[in-house]
Amino acid sequence: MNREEIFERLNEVFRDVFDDEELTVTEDTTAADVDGWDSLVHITLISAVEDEFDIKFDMKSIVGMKNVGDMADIIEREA
Amino acid sequence: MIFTSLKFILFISAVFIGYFIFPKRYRWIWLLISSYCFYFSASIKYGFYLVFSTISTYIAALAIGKITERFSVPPDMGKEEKKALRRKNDRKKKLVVSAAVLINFGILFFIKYYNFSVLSLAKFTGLFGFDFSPHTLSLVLPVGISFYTFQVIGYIIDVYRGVCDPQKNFFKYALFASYFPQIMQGPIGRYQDLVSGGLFEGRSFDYDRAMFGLQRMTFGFFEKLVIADRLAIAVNTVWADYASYGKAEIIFACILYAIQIYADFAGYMDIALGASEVMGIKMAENFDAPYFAASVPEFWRRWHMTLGSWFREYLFYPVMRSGWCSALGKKLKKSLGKGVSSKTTTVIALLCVWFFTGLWHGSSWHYVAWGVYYGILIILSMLLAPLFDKAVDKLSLDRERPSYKLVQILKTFALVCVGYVLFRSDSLSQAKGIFMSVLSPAVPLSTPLGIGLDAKDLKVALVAVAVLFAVDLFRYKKIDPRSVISKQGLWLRWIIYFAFIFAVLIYGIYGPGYSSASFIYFQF
Repeated sequence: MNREEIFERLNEVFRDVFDDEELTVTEDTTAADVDGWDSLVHITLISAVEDEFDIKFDMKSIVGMKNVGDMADIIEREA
Repeated sequence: MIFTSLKFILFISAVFIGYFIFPKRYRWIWLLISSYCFYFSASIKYGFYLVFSTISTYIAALAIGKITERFSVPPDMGKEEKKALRRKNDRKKKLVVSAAVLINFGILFFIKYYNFSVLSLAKFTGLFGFDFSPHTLSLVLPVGISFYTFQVIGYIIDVYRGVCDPQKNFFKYALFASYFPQIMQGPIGRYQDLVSGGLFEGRSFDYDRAMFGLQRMTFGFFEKLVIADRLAIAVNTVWADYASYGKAEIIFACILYAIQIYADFAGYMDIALGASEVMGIKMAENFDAPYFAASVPEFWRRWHMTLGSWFREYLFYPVMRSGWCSALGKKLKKSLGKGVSSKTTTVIALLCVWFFTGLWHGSSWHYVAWGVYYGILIILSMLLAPLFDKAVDKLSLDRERPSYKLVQILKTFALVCVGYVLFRSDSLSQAKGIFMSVLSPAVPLSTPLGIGLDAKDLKVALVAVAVLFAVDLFRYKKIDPRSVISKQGLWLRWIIYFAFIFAVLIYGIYGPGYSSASFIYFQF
């Protein structure tokens, strides 16, 4: 799976979780850039991404992700 | 040794001088000696609990590190076998981390909650007719135990998760666990943050940084001695005899308590972080203009931030990721849909977090009620958010308008004040009495009784709170007030510095021998 495909699918997940059809995330997108991305939604988002890519994030990754790019790196490695 | 005592001023002066006299690479040893002197000066007996927690988590972290180091997968092994081997290795690490967490929480639980547990159990069984007289123990809570226990447990879990490597030098680790500015009341530091913050580095003396640190300390003294201890007089007077007061005085006392506890706790943090800054060591911030929060969840992202992130990372996430929570989520997803599933599991995890947040503050049901109150508010704000958004859109309210934001800030502050009734009261029945006084039509709006502060004290409090408000407004706008002051001319700058120093000396509330009241969070 290449980076472009990962982001295409990630954007679908983000739009679904944040209920915003116009939302587009990039490598540098952080929680501060997305309305409503707090610690409660973060864990829901993680589960949705796991379901989409059939992977499992470990706790180190969950607490250590700085932006969506970090998330895509893990997906690229694990999926 | 209370921060606002002459003894501490002498101590911290000696620490600063010694720190910069010591060769850079040995400065952390000076800090370790200072931290142990600071902690053991409270009580030698308390110190043993700290030493035990330090040793047990140090050994456990090394053991986890060894298990990780020794683990290797033969290259010719199949995928399933590799997975099984990894699982076996993870189980070993889990066993070590669980033992360390259980032992340290066990000590905290026993000392802090044993009496509370047996008395609550006796009360509960009494409701069903099974009376027994519980055996209580006279246990003294070592100062700071709730803070340093959480800090060392956070470290051991981070080592287990692979977030940080174990510290091999026992004495460096002992400094992390006992660093004097934070051991009594936090901030609950994370190992990797304190290391990158320069705890072991021995940074060179920097005049500007030292000045900033001293200014922050002075402002901390100002918050504690001029504001918190002055307002405490009024708050204590009304709370002790709330039945004699009218609604207005009680509500006023609640507002004053909101300011008192903030000035008390944030004042402590400013002294702690300022002292650390003088030595070039960066600690985590604990407050970010909390009373400017426009919602309760935002308030908790700005108030006691290190405790909030501890509960998020070491309790909320693990509960949400636990096997039973995932299984429940999957079951609900099939039967009731995705939305209900994720909301139900979040509600369960939130209630769990807020129950323990309340309990962490003290072994009494009014603290638990206070925690659960916040849990319910946060759950409601999550569940009602879509309805609220619709209502705002329907009424065409502009969220960006200052008046809209002001209403949200005032609403949040009012909800926080309601919570303080539960927090400040000695028991649930006292909190109930205060709520009834405010709500009961039989209680007058006001009474001629004084609230313990004369006109002069009220004026001083008003000016001091206005200064605190202005400083927080700067912080809210992400501007460091110290940078603003440093850009002023020499005369104005020093007039401001001396104004604060003299305000503390003249208007601070002191007891005999210039000693001051203890900090509120010392008891936790």
